[in-house]
Amino acid sequence: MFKKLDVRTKIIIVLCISTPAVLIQDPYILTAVFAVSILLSLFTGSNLKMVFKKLSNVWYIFLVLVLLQSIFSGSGQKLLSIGGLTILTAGGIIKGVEFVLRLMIIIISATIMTTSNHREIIQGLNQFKVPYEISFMVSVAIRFLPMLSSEIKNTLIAVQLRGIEIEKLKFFKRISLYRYIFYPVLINTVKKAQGISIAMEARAFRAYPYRTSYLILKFRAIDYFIIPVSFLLAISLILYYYFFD
Amino acid sequence: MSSLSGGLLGFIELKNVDFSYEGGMPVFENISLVFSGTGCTAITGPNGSGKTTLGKLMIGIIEPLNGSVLLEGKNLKNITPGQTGQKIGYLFQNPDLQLFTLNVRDELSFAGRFMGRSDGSIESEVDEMLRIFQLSRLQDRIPFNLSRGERQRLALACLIINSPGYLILDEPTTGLDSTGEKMLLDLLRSQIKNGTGLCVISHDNDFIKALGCRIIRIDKGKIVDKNV
Repeated sequence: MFKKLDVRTKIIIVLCISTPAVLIQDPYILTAVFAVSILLSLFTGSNLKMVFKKLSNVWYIFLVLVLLQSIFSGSGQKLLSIGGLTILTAGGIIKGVEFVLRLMIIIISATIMTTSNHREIIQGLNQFKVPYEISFMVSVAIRFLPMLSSEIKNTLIAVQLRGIEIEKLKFFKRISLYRYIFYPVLINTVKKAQGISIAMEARAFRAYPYRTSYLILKFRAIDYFIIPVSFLLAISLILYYYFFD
Repeated sequence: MSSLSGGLLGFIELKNVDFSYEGGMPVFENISLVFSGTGCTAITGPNGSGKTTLGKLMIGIIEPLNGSVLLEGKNLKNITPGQTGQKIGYLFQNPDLQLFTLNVRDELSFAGRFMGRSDGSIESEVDEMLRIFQLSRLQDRIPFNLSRGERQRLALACLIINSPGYLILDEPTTGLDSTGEKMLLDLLRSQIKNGTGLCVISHDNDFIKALGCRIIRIDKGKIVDKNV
């Protein structure tokens, strides 16, 4: 049922999940929103297993984020101090957890969009009256992200295949090596962007002010149900947090 | 030599390897191959037959779904890419993937600097490579701005400078003119003569014949012919 949702409904669901996540600063409500985002991602057919696997590779970034929040937005009971510097506070940790939850909600809810193909996303945005140039750019960006990630991974392997054992390098030498990974990635990305722009020109992109489309999206009964419910729940949650909590 | 069975102890061995890309059809099903550390082996076949995938499996860029790939008897899973790179030089189909610096000269000395070699020995080897690969006049240029053939030559030079015991070259003649191809041919012949093992992935039959390689022909992920 959810898997066949119109892409415009999915865009609205993502907005209705991520907006409260940004506006609300309550760990309990954020946890509930996080749970809802996971459920909706599963219902729409996202590959959450793969997303969590990838996120588990960068768990230490989340840990650093919690620590930074705790150091710079510390409040409440002191839990750990080194010298004169307070590292961990109860309030700081809660703020850090809120920050990570917010980030996770946005990432998980965004995976809902991956269940539609790029053609549907462009058409969805077009039927929302977003100019084609912008919807096309959004679609290209969405397609570029996995390519970019795989290019970084490949470049890292290619560097090591020169016989460099990264694990054995000293910290600063390792940092200086990572600098070299960005040259090919950046240059190849620019080259790809140039190639796309030339191909677009060659195919007369924007030659005519109006475009027709073979694919026309149509809402179904489930979309007419989900859209108002999503809006209602998101607005209620925000109002509850600001006026009744 | 290369063999279809895993009975021999080879330099690189693929044992009952299955592989498919994420969400795709199987590329290889239960293939076994043995590559010895000397001589020349060519992997050939039509476009999309799995030649490059086989090369990537051999070097550990991709891992088999089932089965194992062994390098000198050790499972590639247990060896870091850095250790593999010290034994095998791998030329990517797209040389842009293995150029990292903003200067041809730096590109050649790149690995040596990170492997802790002395500046003196690196510089003399860099000069030698610049001469052999006819890159001397380009030594201050940005590698990414070179022509396809020049980038290919540079990427190859970066492999040879490390003196690996085995080379896997994916479409090494792409972008090379006849002079470049002749130079590459002579260089690879001398490498083979000096005991370096070579695996050429190519559908350039003339080049393969000129090298005198043993041939493994694959099509749709299956070994259809071998001349070993």
